[in-house]
Amino acid sequence: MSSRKDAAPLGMVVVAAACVFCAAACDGNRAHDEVVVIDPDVYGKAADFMLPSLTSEQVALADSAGAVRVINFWATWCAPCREEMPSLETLHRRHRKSGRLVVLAISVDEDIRAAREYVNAHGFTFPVLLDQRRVVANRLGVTVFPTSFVVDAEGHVVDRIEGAVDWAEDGLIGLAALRPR
Amino acid sequence: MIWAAFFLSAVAWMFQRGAYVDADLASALWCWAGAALLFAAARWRRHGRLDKRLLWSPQALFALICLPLVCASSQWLFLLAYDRLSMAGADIPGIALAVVAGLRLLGIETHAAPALVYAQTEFGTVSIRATLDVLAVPLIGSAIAPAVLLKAGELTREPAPAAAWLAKVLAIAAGYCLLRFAIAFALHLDHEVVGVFWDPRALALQTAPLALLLAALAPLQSGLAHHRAISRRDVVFAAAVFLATALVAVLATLRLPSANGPARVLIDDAHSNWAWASVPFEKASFTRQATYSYTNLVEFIGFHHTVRVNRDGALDDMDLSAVDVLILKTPTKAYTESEIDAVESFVSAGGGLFLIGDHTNLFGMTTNINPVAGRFGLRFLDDATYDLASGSPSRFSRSPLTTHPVAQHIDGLEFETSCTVRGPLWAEYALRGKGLARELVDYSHINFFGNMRYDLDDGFGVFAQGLSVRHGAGRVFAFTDSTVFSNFSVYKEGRAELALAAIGYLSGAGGVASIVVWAIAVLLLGAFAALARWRILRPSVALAVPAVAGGVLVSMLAVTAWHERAFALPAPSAPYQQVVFDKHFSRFDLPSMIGVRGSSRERSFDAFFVATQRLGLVPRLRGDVEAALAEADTFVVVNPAGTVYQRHALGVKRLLERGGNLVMVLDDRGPFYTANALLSEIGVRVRLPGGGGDERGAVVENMERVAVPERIEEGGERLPVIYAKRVGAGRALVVASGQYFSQEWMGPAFNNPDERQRRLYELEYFLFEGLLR
Repeated sequence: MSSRKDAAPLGMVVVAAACVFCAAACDGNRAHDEVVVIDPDVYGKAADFMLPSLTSEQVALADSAGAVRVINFWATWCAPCREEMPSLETLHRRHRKSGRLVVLAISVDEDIRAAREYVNAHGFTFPVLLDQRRVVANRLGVTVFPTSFVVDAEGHVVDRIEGAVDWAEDGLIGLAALRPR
Repeated sequence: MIWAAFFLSAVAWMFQRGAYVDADLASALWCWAGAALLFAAARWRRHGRLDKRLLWSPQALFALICLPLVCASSQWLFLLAYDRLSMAGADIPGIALAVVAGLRLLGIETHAAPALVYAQTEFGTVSIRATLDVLAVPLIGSAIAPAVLLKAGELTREPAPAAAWLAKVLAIAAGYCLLRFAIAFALHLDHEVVGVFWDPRALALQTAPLALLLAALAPLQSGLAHHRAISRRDVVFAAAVFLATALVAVLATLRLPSANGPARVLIDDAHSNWAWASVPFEKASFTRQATYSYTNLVEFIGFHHTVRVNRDGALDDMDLSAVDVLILKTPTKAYTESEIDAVESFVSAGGGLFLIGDHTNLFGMTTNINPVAGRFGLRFLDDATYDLASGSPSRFSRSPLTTHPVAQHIDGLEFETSCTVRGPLWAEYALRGKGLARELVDYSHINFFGNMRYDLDDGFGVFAQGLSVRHGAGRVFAFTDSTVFSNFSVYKEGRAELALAAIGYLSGAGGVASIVVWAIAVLLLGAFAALARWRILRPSVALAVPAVAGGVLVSMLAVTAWHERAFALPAPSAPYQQVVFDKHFSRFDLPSMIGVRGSSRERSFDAFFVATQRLGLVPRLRGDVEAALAEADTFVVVNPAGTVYQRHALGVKRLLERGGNLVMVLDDRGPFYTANALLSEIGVRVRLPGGGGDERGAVVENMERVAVPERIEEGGERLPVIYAKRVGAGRALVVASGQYFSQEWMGPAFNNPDERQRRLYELEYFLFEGLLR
């Protein structure tokens, strides 16, 4: 009898905690609320490419399949490109561990040394690929810099951005929206 | 170790309360965790070594809970009292003299003037404002407060040693305050170290030696933590103190709303050649008189209450008995004595008085308003405030413990530049500005603003930007920034709500009279003394402090909850067209007037926002998308980004189906992912063409391009491109090249636009009036 009495308050605490948990976990309005995933045909499928990196590796878009890719075309002589680079680095660092998002910065500098010096001087750690002759840039119709593409995990281009943006801004890329279909 | 714990806990409060810089809860929690460890270590050590037998003893556990509780609650109460004291008058008389005397003892040649200390340095004579904040009193005071309280409890048992100990601690602390001030002053002069006086990390470092000094010279016996076993009488005592405190605090702060429905509001325009209440604000009204006027405020109040404007009558000639709330704003002309008498009689008889001033005695407003304010113990100062850390205009954020009805519905209000206001200690501090600096008028600046950068003779800390008092049967609310109610800014976050909340509060009546509250407090104290005398209670300082803090805290929460319900904003009595600007997905700013220079012009859509008011629309900002979609007549989204859920996309569709409108403004850069997600339910897609072809700007699919009137296009320059689609009874518009509606192209909201900018205005009018009405 007495042990049941002792257990009563504990039981009440457990029940109360369970209620709080359930209330927090279940929201009637949102139980069936899905993230809106846009039509993948807005820009179509991203064509694969392979480019050398600053570290002399050959990097293909397909290497990072399964992750969201931010492909950023830039050049050292382009002021808006330089302006957005730190925020691109922030984005890269934010997702480096999880691997859900990969930043691929494609430099169109003709002078590779300039690109290398710039990247080293600023300590950027995202992969920098080299497209000196603008082969990939032309194929993707890039005429202004910076231009960025957001490619979803399945390889669809879901966004195109022409101009500098703050990549560190929360929600600029709705990762939840870019989850596999 | 206990001293170190007290100091660490005090540093935690510096991080938490955000009096100088934004609150940093993570750092505060780390400091509190460190303090808790130090408390534990102090209790577990005996003869300098860890005694494992003490680890889990009941007394040790009690001390572990009780001591931190006493420490935290006494510090919270100290800071609460300190903030109130500093708002009532940071320049406490005598501080400058005391500082000068102390510095001279240290061999530093200084001189005192009211509130200022003049020091002779190699750079010449330098003045510094002598305030308790500059002396780091909040940190040092809150560090020693728990020790002083605990020791004060010993005064009855061992009066002489306890008194000597207290005197020693206070003397050491005062001496250290001065020494630290002198060093910080020198550092600031030599190296211009910004933040040496207020940065919590700098303060923690500066006061660490004091903790060591006190530990060496005035050790706290570990017996402090070794509290006697708690008895039933102790519990009764703590509960009684808690209830008594809560009762008095509730009675003192609870206010009752009006039961009479809409208020009768009178706005006095006769004494004010500024913030005009009846200047038209229409499509082509671009003069300063139009943009600074209160036309929209008067309209907005009129949607909820009955409002009248006094254009030229003397206040003593008017029948104020037919008025519930009188608004006296920005007076550029003095009130006569008999007018002031009439206003005072009006308030005494139960009227509400809303006083609106502004910074730096602009156009003599402070000079003219203070004779009225003075009748109620209030005083507007000739200063200007700014955010101490950033140098930007300050922003008011409501705390969950805000009890004042005026602040209940404001979740963020950016000031255009306020002055500060002072009142008696018992005044109600409706809008407490934290992390502010205040500088005195600087007429070397043509625009009456100071340099908005900390100089040694600026004050900083917590100041009142809105303050209310009760007078007779009525209420007075003094507010310090008239510009937030001007046409170009009144519908930004929190401002129209502030006006409505102030009128709601001022038109209310009742509340427990101060004299009754004081009488109850005295009676309760007498009852405590009697119960202690008869040994029914066992008074304990250690238990009283958390009980008082708990009582105050609970009463604040209860009164806040009550006020939120009782002083709900009134529903409009007449419907009006609401253009709701989304703030959840949208990426745009509405910078304050002075903040324009610091913000990104291409991200600012203030002119676009305010132009809707010229059409008689009421623009509102909402962060809750679903609520916004439910209340909007027209829902405006600007350059959206973020994750869109089905409820958002379906909400957009339902808005249109019920006859509402959607305006989506997109710049030519992208990203468009979120825009496409929001438009997905109505079958519209936006993309960038790319490829260097002839197409420029965004391509909008499944919408019709709208032809705009020729007169707008005759300039030949690039303009936003409007696409439209009918959905149900409503209309969706996508505005491509929407960057042309930003401040970069339209200019700031209060500017007189040039020809090109006027064409953008014309296009916006066409959009809202020609396409959506």
